[in-house]
Amino acid sequence: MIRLAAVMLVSLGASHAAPATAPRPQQAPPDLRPAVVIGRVIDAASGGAVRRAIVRLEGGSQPVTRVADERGRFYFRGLPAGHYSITAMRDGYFDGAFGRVRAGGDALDLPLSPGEWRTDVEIPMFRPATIAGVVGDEASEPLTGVPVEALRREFTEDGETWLSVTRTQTNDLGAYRLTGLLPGEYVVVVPSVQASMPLATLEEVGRTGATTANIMAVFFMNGGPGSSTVGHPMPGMLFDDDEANGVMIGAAATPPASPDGTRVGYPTHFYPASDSVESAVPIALASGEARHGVNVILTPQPTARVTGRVEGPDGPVPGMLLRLIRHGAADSGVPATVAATVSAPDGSFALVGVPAGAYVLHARSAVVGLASVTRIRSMAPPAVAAETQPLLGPARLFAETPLAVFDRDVDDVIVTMTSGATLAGRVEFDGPGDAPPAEQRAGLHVRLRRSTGATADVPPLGVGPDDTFEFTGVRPGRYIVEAGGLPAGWFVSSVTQFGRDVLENPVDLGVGADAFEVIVTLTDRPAGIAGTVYDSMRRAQPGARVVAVPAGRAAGLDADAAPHTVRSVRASVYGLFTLLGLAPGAYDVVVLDDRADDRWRDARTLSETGSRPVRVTVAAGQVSPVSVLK
Amino acid sequence: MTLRLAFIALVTAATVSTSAAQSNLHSIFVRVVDADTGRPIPRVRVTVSVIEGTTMRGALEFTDRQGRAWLRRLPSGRARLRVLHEVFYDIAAPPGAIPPGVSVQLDDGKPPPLVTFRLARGGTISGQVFDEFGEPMAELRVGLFRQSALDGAPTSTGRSAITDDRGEYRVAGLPPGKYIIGATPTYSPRPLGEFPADVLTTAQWINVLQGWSNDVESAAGSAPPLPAPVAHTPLVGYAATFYPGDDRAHAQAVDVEGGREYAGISFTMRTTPMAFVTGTVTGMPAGLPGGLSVALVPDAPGGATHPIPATTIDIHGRFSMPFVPHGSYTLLASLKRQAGQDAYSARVPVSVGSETAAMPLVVILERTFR
Repeated sequence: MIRLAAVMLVSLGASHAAPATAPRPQQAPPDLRPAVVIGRVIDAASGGAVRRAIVRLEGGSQPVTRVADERGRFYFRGLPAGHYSITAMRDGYFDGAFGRVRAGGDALDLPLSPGEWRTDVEIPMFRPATIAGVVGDEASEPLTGVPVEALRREFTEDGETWLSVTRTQTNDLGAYRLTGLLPGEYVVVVPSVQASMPLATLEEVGRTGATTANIMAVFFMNGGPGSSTVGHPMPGMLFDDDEANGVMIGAAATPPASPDGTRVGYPTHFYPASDSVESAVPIALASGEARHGVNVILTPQPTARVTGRVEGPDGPVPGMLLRLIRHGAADSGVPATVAATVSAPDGSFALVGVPAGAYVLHARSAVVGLASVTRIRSMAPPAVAAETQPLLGPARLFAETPLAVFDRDVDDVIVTMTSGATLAGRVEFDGPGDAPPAEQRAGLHVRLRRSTGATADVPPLGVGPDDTFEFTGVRPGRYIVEAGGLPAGWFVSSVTQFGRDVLENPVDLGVGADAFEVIVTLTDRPAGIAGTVYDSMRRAQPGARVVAVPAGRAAGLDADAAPHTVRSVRASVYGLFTLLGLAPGAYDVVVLDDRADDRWRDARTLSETGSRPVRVTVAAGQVSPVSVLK
Repeated sequence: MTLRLAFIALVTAATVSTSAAQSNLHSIFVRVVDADTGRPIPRVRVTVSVIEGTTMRGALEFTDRQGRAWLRRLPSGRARLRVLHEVFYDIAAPPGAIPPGVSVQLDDGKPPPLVTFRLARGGTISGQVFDEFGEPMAELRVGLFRQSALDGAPTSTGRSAITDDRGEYRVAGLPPGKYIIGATPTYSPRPLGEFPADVLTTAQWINVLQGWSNDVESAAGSAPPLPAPVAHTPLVGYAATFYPGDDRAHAQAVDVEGGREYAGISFTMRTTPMAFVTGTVTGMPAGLPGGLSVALVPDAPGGATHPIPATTIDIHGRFSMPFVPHGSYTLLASLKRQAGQDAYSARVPVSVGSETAAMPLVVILERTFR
């Protein structure tokens, strides 16, 4: 009835506005009938109502927030036609959103026509999962205050990896509880890092006016213990003049002293009984699942001491952060550091509590400046980089030394530091018109990402007025060059070096191997793919996950495609999608259900659960159409 | 806090390491046993600090399975030993006091002293905290207090816990005595916008208001109108709540005996009226650096929901505090003296009530000295 009345009103209005004599073309008045949304917030697992969630609608002139009632119901009225997002928040749940089909998944826009009444909107909310258990020692006595971390299997643009997502400590009963977990696969780890600081270095640092926080930050912001995404310094200090002449900054449980004087320690332990993530048993968690009884028994092992000296081009180098990392595990998200220290003023160092194994001894400048690092991680303008300072000694020196530890101390290790490499280039604008004005380019910056996915240690660098950039002192390794803070409407079309595509083939920086003439090209005529997802009945498939993989390396959708070249978007409620900013070339387009998980970057998942690939060629500056059968 | 202090002490120790290394070095043997059973207690943290003249040196060790620890390479001087364990407590400490430890003199030519500590298993308090709708509240700080012998006011024991996702807390290793249990929120802000007031929980109110505060800060540079978003709606927040769910004057102490667990010490958070306080600071001469901070100090401490964080004025001299319990306060604004500049400050009595949001404050700075 109301809709009919509205139609009549519009008809009346149109006839009233029609000019009596004017022969000029008619222009229909805008349809201003307000739309209405009525919906419910539900528990995704049970389908039951979630009461008193805060529901927020955005997309109009200003956000509107409502509180769902005791039956989870909410409404918004008086809405102009347009596209809206609706989110819901409530304690005990992950944030819900319209179109979200799994915890942490993407939402969809809700399109509203003039005068439309949407009365069937459901906002599903997902409960976090939990892992709980007990950590005990070799006598099954509970260990208190022990750090416990959850690593989640992630499929990122850098490939499959395990990332630390949350961390807690055991209580007086040795019990822990890891909460707030998304569905997925997890590994539980009790990390152990024997971190120490030479007394002489402490004395030296004290003279510089550095605070306790600065000193702690040396370890916790330089990839040392607790430097995972959610890690926090675990106190518990022990200094041991006899062995290390330094302060132990323990991030691990300490076994009782051995009666025979043998040095023992608890090495990093992966559930149920492993020293590496590869041989750990992952725990698959469904949405909201609570897994109990994930108990860990730690067993002490004999440990050794590694001592030596850090040498640089000009002699002994103090103030270098040294980390002993399990061989093959560097730059991964897995806790792999077994010991860490800082070289003393005379360049000497001592790493204690090292179990037998194969390692790589990483050394680099230890920098301080905690606040600046927080800003760098948030991709703030790169000028903040200047705030970081070397703790002691020169900046931008690096070394990686392979090392094997057996059942005895390793002495006289010489770590030879080398200067970092240089990567320089410029940004070019490729468009039909002029380059964007200076004010739109103010935030333009270039950043380096290690191809392994690890932090590059190099803060983003602002592009100069002449559109050039130059990174110096970069740690050797393979890097992907990315641009951020792009002017509105501009996209990265290519990153090349002497004509070679370095988006797919990262730049290799080494000792004495610099990289110049890296060209980042931006365009305001982005290439891309646009199309529709439909089923065998020719019905649009709303919310389907659309994935584009470079065709050359995706034959059969095997694992050869560089993960960062795989692009994805969700189809809209009408089954439409657009992927812009693709490099020219041939792509295979695949669709899959977004409900399953976030593994669309995983080649095996694509080939097992994706649709038949559709080949499409993307030309420079063009958006190629494609329709994909789900 | 204790550990942080210990770390600072260690840094201090580092500065005197050279002098310590030059004297004869000593050892101390420590034994730690259960006062009730006589059994050794492993994994007890044993610390020692040695004062030698004007310098201090420290060491730390854990006991082995026989309850033994061997502290080595100590200089001559007066050494003070202390022990710390998560479940056991030092019976030598008077109730509510920091364990005094044991002092021994380390002199050249004397044998290493043997020090025995007797610890007893402490009590445990655990429970759940709920909101006014009976749902568990996560991320509350639950602190343990003792009643002051002077005025009866709760004084912190330094022991606390954070409630988990089930609203549960647990504090162990408590020496016998009467404990008062109090909880305060530790919320992090979430950005939100306008909404009508109907059935929000207090926690949701708090989130919304703190979100508003963020919005105001982020938009401060573009001179938006000062927010008065809740002028016509009743505001509530959580007051510091003491077991069994009342203010501190009516807190009920739990009489803890060693080795016993007191589970089910659960309670519901108390709500209190709040206001959104805004204002403008004037009287600051042009050219002075910004960053003037504004703080509200309760005239009668104890009624606050939790400490009200100080805020900083924006470039227009404005400030806002979205989450202030009703009551009497003193507003403090100060700009410390810079080189060649004057110092300015203001001290204004403020009564915060339901009408506060509609009446922004005007704070006039005065030159305090040159």
